[in-house]
Amino acid sequence: MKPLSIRRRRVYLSFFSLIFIISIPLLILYATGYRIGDALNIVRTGGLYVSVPYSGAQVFIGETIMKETSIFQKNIFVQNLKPGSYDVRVLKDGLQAWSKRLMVFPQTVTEGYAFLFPLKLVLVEIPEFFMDGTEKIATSTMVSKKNFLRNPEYRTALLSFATTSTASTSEDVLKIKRKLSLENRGGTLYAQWKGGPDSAPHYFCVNQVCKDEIMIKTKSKVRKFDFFPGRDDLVIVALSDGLYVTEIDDRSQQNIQLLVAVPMLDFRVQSDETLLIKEDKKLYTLSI
Amino acid sequence: MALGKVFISTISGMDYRKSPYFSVGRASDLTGSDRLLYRGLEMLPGLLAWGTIIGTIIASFFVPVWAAYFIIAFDLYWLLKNAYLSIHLRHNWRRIKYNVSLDWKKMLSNMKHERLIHLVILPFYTESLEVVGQSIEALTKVRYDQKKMAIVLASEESAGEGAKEIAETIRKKYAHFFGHFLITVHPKGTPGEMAGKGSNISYAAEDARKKILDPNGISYDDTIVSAFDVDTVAYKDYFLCLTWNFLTTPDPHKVSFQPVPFYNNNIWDAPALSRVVAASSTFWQMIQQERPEKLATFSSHSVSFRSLYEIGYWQKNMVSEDSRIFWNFFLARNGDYSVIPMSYPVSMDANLASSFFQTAKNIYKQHRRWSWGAENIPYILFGFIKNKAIPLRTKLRISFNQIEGFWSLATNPIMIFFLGWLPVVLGGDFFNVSILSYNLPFLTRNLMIVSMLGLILTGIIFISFLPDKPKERSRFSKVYMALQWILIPFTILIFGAIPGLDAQTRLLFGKYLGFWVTPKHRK
Repeated sequence: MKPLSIRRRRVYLSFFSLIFIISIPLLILYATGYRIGDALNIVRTGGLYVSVPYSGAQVFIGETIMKETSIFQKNIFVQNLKPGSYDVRVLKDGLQAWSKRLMVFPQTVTEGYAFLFPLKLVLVEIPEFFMDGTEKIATSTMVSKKNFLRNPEYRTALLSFATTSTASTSEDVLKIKRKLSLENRGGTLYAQWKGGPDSAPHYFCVNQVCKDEIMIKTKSKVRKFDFFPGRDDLVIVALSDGLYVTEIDDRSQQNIQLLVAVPMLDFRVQSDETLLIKEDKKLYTLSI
Repeated sequence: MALGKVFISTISGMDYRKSPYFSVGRASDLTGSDRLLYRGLEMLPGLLAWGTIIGTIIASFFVPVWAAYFIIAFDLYWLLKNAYLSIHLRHNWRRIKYNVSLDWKKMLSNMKHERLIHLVILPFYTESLEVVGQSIEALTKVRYDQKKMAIVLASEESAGEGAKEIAETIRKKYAHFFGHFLITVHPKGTPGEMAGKGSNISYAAEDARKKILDPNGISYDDTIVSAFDVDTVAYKDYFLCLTWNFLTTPDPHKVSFQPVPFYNNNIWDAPALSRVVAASSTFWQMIQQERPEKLATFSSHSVSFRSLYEIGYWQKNMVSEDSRIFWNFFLARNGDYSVIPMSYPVSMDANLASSFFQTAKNIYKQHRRWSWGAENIPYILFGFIKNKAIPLRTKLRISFNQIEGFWSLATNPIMIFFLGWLPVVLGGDFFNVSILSYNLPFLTRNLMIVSMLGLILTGIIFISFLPDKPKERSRFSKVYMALQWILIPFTILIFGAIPGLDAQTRLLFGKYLGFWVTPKHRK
């Protein structure tokens, strides 16, 4: 049996070379968003990327459900979209909805980062005192205080409010996280990006045109605010009627979701997962 | 010892053989501008490999779009190259099966071959009696007149008394089977030599000439030398097949004969990692057998004694003597030298050590030594510059093939598995919101998945060449043998690209490797 002949090998080589030469421009055009349009013309398309922090959430573009997120894939990437505006909604039972109108540009992926907080969050009180033993009791009990021990957790929590209050003037007006600053100007919050456009968060830029300031619109004056832990695009704001989370992203109407409907409260970010809430003398934790 | 510069503008053919350039092992063997030139050529493979890797990283940072285009083109090239090579693999698979099933005695029945003598050189160091014995035992069973065979057991003085005892035991047990049996002892510490297989088999070949060929009046023209690794087990018709190839080749002194190395001796004992790496080497050799113009001798090979004698045997001052001997011939004969792909197997040991970790370590070291074959690139290019008698077209073709081969080995798997993601990581925010950035990982992944479909063929071929399953093995063993191929992405990186890059980096910085003997362990 003879080895592969030079002639046959040349035929194979020519065949694969031809495939390579033909495929390369097609692959690159495909990868950069070019598609064949309805009129059999070449059109430039874009894409949408939506990040969802939950599994089991449904992602809609317009009225079409695109995907239900899972533990393994919580993000959705849709391409082949004609340039234009698209209404994106993310829904999950028991959680507040997130919706956004996003513009899709040719050869670009427009990103959206959804957030969905439970319709009802539970405040857990930090009692000021423990009963002698392990049982916790409310401070309103009629039992004599000499039978109680002061709760160190309450004390620590209270201190976190006291500590910041000493510098309240500056802290309540300006907060900076890396190159992102939040400033409260007379009850209206402004987010500013202090870095270059190359590293600006996605919501500062639309189709590679970036701005450096975004106004965060709220229905009443912002009393207190802070960055939402672990996210650069969300802010916790205390308004006159309760505590909310709002997004900075103003590419369309900013989503704002209620955490606690308690008026005139104060809060501190305790950890990535917990807020401390203060209402008069009562202290609570809120898992977020 | 530094060699002086030869002030001649044209050296050709056997003139080149006589020139001081012929036996260069490394740049330090030369002086003056020759030394600088050779050193520069030694640096070439490493510079190309690192240049590609660093270049892709820099491009991913500064021009991520162009880097992404390059990566897409490269992924497609890789896919098509795999498809192209798998055609060669499949054809060679059929050819080997055909050749193994052929009655080579019948093929030789009308040819006069009684005058031919097979001189088999088996160099060994500290390998066990079992390993050496298995190879010699196989020689007693091949279908060839053993009285027309001369066996040279080439031992090393540095291996000590143990090796001497093994050689004597082998002599007592097997010498009477063969026409001639010689034990040679390569003296240790010979000036100008590197301890290794090359110096040992060269010494053995010369000793055999003096003690077997000349005293018995055996013609050098009629002696075929098979330089085997000590674990090489010849299949039953190997010498008949070799003889047929020798006799049917127009000029058997202008060719070497290359069998296909299978690693079947201990394949059922070796771990999956070792099996996959060993079989990958086999497959690469099978592919090369269908591309003889790219084939150089590798590991166990055969060649006429006359040719060997004319060029002074294998080089003694470098590691990759198995492939270097081909380039020695090629330069000495002005490019008029080639390899005959026998498409007939010999069996050797897959890497196996007492522990899994040690096995992995040995595989790495063995592949680094094989990758050290990049030391042939400066030798070939330097020879092409000096030997004006070789046609320019041949020089260009060979140079490209060799450079591309070692470049691919060291860089392609790294580019496929790592660099494909680099523009996404380094490209910056503007690039990261482009549709290209999102599509790049998907395209890379999908092209690789299609590429990996070829593994089905490799799995089938591997199983078809397996020796009979030992009775103690479970009936699912062959299933594991098929599933093992999912290790390929890991093995081509860890035991292909990384040792390749390691070897080329050492060559780049002049940190020369010595000869490392792969330990042969049997369960």
